[in-house]
Amino acid sequence: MFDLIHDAAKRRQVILGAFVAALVCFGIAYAAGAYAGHAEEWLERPFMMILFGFVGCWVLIVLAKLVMTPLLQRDEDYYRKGDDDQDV
Amino acid sequence: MFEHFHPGFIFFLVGLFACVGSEKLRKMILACGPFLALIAIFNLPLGLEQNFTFLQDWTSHYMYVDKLSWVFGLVFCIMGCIGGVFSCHNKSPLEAICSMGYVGASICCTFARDWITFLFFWELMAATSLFLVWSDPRPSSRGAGTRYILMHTLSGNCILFGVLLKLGQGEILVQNLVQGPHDAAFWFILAGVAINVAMVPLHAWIVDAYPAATFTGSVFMSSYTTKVAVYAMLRIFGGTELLIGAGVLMALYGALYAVMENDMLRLLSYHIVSQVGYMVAGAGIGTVMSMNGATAHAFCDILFKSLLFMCCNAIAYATGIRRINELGGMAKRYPTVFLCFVVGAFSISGIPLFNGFVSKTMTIAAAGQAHYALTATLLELASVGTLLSICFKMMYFIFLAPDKGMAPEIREIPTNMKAGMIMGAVCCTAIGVFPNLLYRYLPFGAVEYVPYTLPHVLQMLQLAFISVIPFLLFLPRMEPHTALSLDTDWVYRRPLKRLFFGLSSLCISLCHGLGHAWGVGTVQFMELCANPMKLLDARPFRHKRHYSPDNYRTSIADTIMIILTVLFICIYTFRTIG
Repeated sequence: MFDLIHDAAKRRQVILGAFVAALVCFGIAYAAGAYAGHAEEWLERPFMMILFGFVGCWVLIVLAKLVMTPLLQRDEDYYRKGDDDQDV
Repeated sequence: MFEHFHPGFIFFLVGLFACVGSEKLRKMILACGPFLALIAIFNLPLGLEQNFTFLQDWTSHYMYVDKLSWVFGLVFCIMGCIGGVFSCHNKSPLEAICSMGYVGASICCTFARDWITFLFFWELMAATSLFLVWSDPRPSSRGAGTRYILMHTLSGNCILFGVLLKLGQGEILVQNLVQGPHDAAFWFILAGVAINVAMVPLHAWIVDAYPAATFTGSVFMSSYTTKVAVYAMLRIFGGTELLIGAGVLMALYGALYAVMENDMLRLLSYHIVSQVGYMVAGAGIGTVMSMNGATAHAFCDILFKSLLFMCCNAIAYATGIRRINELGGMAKRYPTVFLCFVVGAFSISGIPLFNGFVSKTMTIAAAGQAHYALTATLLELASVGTLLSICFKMMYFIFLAPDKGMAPEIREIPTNMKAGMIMGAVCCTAIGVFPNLLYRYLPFGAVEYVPYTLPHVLQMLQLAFISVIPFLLFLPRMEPHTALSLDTDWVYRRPLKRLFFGLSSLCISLCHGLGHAWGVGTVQFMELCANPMKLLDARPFRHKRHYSPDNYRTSIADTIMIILTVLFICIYTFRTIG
């Protein structure tokens, strides 16, 4: 199994592989003329999908893990403590 | 009548026979019976109407087949077959009848043409699914089931008020209400459907109840209640612009919570909220393409979401663990489950060749085509969240990361469970590879959308590959930890509950106090009636409170005084007269 948390070198390899794969997809799309015409949406412009995916993913992680987690996560027994072991 | 048998009634019969049959017979009935319903639905011609008159002048239009009801009925039957195979090892007759009754009620609700029949099966759906939660032996399931039925009672009552108003206006048939007046009936019915569709902030019941159901019960529950509500949204509220914002909020909200979540089934429940958001937004946009997109996504969502639920429930059944941070290495231990999970994860994330790609992208494209650019962008962002939480987080931490060895027991996964998962995976892949299998049944006009164009496929792949990078950069932080995420159910599980119990205690104390005061007052009043002279006791100058006859005897001095006074009056009177 892959221990990507502790194996930083393997993690870097996978990151590099993903980046190259995304660039290859972009390259093929560019070569095939996917971006040649007028783009109706901004996500259809060259390189925008890669930028959107990277920034969007980053924003979601930061929001969920760094903002919402400390604000909203409690102990698992939160509702069962004290008077809360009743049915409703 | 028997030429066109109602598929919902077949499920009722299957449930009934499975309940009363022996264990071996039950297994066979659950595995094979639902396929009769699948045959029955393919025999239903469009436009077929069946009625049933009772109470002299009331007619139940219990089956009307049009394109929309048929396509939903079809996917409900397919899911009934998959669920029947997945759950046929169950030993509980109650679970068998409830799961099949739940499927039957959902199909009947879809085919119901009049409001009363629709509402009846809507309530039956809630009642039957409740027992799928209560069948789980965990203590937490009892409370979760109670909260579940309270929310669904609220939903049913909202619809009931609206339906009564509609009947008062002489409208008995279920129809699109958007063109008519946006009166109280409209808002009541919308509120009732919004609860069942898990619209934020009324969604918390889904995350509360689904993980609390049994291993097989949650698979059924993930497929029906919200999808019947999506059907209602499309039929009754298609084109309501308010739904666009609500749908986008649902899609993002569910995706964000899923990134935080540690419990496998709670995470998937948040993804129900998220995926249903696409359908609600599609219904709100109201164009032919968006409504078709919402229908297609509901169809595909039932297949891939139930597949993911089946995989996670199989893991939970085998290991006894539901927390992601306690699992790992499951790909090696359960390769079949892993492969099916990959199909489900790729489908929900919209990866090409899997069914999510042909349905989710249609809804997003419809938003763009209808000039809702922000809506399309935010829905695309929500799909990044889906990639992040299911394709990367769940797949890595449950299946690919090193095993943490925390499983208290390792059980073999029954063959029928594996068969159910494989059936689901085959359906997801078949629709993904051949989208026309689904597109030709879409009800709102001809489908002009072509999912498999080179730019489109490559754009999706760019998105999938590039999203890996932030996930891996944050990997140590992405590992979930044992915690509970507070949601909107906090409102009724904490302050409202305390307010309710506080008010109840106050009422009880008041009743006790008033009862005591009434009792004391009554006794004193009766004593007073028995002896009115006691009233004199209340005067402040009387010191002796307790009854004594001496208190009421006049003294000698008083007697002599009275006699002398009377004598004086008599003498004076006689002398005056004389």
